[in-house]
Amino acid sequence: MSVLTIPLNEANPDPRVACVVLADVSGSMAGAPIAALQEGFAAFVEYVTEDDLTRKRAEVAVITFGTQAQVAVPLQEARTLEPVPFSASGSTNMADAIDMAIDMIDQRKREYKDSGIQYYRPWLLLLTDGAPNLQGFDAAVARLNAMEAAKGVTVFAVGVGDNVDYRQLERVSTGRPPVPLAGLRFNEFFEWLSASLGNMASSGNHGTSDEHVAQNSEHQVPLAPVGWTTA
Amino acid sequence: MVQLPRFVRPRQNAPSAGADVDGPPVPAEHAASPAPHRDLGAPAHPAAGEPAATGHRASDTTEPASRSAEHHATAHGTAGHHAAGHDTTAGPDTGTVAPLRRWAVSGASVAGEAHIRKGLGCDDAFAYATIGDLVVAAVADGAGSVTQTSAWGSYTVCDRVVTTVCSPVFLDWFGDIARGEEPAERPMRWLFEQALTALRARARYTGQPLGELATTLAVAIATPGLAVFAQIGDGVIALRDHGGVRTVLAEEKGEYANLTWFVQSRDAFTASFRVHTATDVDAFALSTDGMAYKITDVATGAAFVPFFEGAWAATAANELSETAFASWLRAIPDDQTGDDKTVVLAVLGESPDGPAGIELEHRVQSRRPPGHVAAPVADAEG
Repeated sequence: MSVLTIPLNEANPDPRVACVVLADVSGSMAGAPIAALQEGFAAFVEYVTEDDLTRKRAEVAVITFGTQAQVAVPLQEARTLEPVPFSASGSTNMADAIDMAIDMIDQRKREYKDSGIQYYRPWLLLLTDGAPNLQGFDAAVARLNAMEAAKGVTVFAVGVGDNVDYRQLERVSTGRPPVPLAGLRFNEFFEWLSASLGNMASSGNHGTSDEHVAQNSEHQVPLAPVGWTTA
Repeated sequence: MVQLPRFVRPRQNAPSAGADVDGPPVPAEHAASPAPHRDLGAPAHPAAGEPAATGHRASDTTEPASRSAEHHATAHGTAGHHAAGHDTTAGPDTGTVAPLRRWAVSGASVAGEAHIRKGLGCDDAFAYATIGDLVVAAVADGAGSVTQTSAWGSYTVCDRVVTTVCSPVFLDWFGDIARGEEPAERPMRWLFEQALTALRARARYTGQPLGELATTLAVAIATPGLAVFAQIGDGVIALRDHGGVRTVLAEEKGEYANLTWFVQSRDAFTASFRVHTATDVDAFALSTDGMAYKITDVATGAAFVPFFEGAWAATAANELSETAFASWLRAIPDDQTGDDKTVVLAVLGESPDGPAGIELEHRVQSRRPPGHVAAPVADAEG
């Protein structure tokens, strides 16, 4: 046992991983799907706030989209998250949600840089059960694809139910194909998300700029075993 | 017993046998054809050849007969060259009768938590040596993306740097820097090119791509009067002088500036290689990035002074054996990076009487990586 007492700096903020969840709350999600989403998110809050590293390193936001997108949970440290109610109505303005998420991520990166906080490549998770409104969709997808190509974000797309337009959904990420959620296993999905964020938060893949993060991320952080998809 | 006012004074009573036993490895490469800097071992600048010539000046009358049978005694010859020639006229650094000052050095390297969890070893390496009142130290951080093979990269560059600096060729050249006859930039660049040459040689030998040996490199060479630091890639270099404790050569912050460069990265020698020279440095530290959260302010890169003062005091008090230092590093509860951690500390102290007898080189090096030469990278990480 060492008797050395050499002081260490305990004041540096931890590196952060931002995670923005885009949740479809259009009318078709009414009933069991929206209830499962709400329950799944509540479980997620529990998982991430229990994990020592995740709770201080992960920052989570939820953007819901029906006819319009709105911020259901503002981007915040996981430790301050609380369950929220979701309700379904309207059409599927995915474009609006994607634009909002990109702006949110860009803004957060600026704040990280201004504060000298190192960060991991942010995550964007998109959950939808149908076909997106075409209005503005091409432009939003192009923007997101460019951000992903510049290694500025990692995109996961998840289809819920049998009416997903996968032809459109697969355009959302150039990096990985969309994955169908088995049944309504939102709970398992969010458990996976929590564990994967935990793996990410304990990896060394952070930096002070997108280029730095990309350089440090040549290897994929192992994602948690997936128990929520039929793919 | 010999008192050495600045780096190594010749020992007049040294035996004269074995003058050429320790022939420097460098001059042969040096003498090669002119070529761009990045083509290693063949510096384009004519002066690069000079150390080779100087180093071989065995018959020079000013050269004391100190390339003796004692190992690494070539260092004496080197220092003797300038000590004899310039003793009274002024090194920039010392008065006429300076007390003997020597470097206490400690260093350790431990695997990061993330590596330990995956059953992997440490990709960092360090090496240091003291010769009289000169110290050379190197730390290197093998790339995590090519873990295991990069451990050989970091080990190789540290080894080559310390070996090269301890050669009479380089010590002589360092004497030129100390006397202000040569800017530090060129010898240090050449030293880093030697490190890259060693990586190339290893890659060729094992048949593996050079990129699998990817490593950063930070080097310090110091005497009581002059300290020179050089670096490619990230890591922390801190020093103490009259102005206090500060970090130097920290990588620029900014959108494109904070890439981590490796010695073998394309353009590393133009984009990332940097040199800092300081006088009257009485303590310094080199660390890999794994300690950055604990020993600097990560937003500004500024030194967390209490760490350095505490660690130098422990080094001076001889409390930091490699074993003790390593267990201390391992015991850090949360380093916020999970990365391998390596630190070398050096602090100048008065040597009570100095060791009786000769000025042997004292050299320490981190453990050799495991024997495999070409790790199956595919299964190293998910």
